[in-house]
Amino acid sequence: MNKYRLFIDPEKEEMWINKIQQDGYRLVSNTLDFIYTFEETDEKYITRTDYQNHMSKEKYDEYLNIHEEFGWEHIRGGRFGMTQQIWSKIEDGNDTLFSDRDSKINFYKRQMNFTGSLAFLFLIYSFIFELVTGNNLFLTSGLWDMQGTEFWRAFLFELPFAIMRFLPAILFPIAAVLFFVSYYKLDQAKKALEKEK
Amino acid sequence: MRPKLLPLSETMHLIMLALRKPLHGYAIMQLVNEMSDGQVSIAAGTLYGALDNLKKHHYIELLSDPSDRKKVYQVTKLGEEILELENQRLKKFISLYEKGEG
Repeated sequence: MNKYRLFIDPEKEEMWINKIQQDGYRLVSNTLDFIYTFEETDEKYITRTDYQNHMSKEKYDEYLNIHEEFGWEHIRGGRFGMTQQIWSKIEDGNDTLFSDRDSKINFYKRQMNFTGSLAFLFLIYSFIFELVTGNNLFLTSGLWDMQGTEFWRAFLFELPFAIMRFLPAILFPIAAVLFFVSYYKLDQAKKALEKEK
Repeated sequence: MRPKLLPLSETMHLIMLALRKPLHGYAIMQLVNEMSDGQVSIAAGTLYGALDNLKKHHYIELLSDPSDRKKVYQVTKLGEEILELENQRLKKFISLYEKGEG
């Protein structure tokens, strides 16, 4: 069973996966961030997400090995810090990745760095596309001076292209805002933990 | 000035005590659990982060060959000195407790 979903907030992603797993499924892979493949199972699986910065080959080996020794199965992730790390295991009571406050706070810090970088990246994209697109959505010269059928024909002909040009300019700012919101939420969660200290 | 990471957090302290003999990841968790009478149960991500941090400061080292699947760690000479410092610090604390006041 495939499900298509794009998550910006890692905690929502984790909750969504675990909700599906409660109904007798388990996540087997996550491709290109948005394709989630589940299969039926009689076992109860639990999934947790982590984020790690770029790791050397040796470090990455240690990272995988330690988690696998604890029964976690690596569903998604690499050593270059480009995506979340997704881990699954059969529920056995020790179902978290972090067992003390410091390591959980450190997780939030790593995750916030990643989310914050993406927010910033999309903000820059937004400005670039704003500059490139500007007011020149339609490139047909003299389009706005045309009349009647001639105008409509030229306008409708170029409309799909104009929309394609316009799409990034609208999607990138939305992505930037969503990443900033996610960053803020992670920061709140981190501060709540720090207050408990 | 005190060496880095001192005083050790409970998690790191127990991990270093466990690593006075060579152990791999899951065995570290089991021994720490036993040493703490079941009070401290270290999760995988926390253990990885702690080992990485201790290794960065050269308090522990990876013994096994990088190509080996199983990763075995042990406290270094420097790590033993760090444990000795912690031992002194805690002995001092115990004596403060036993004196009752001041």
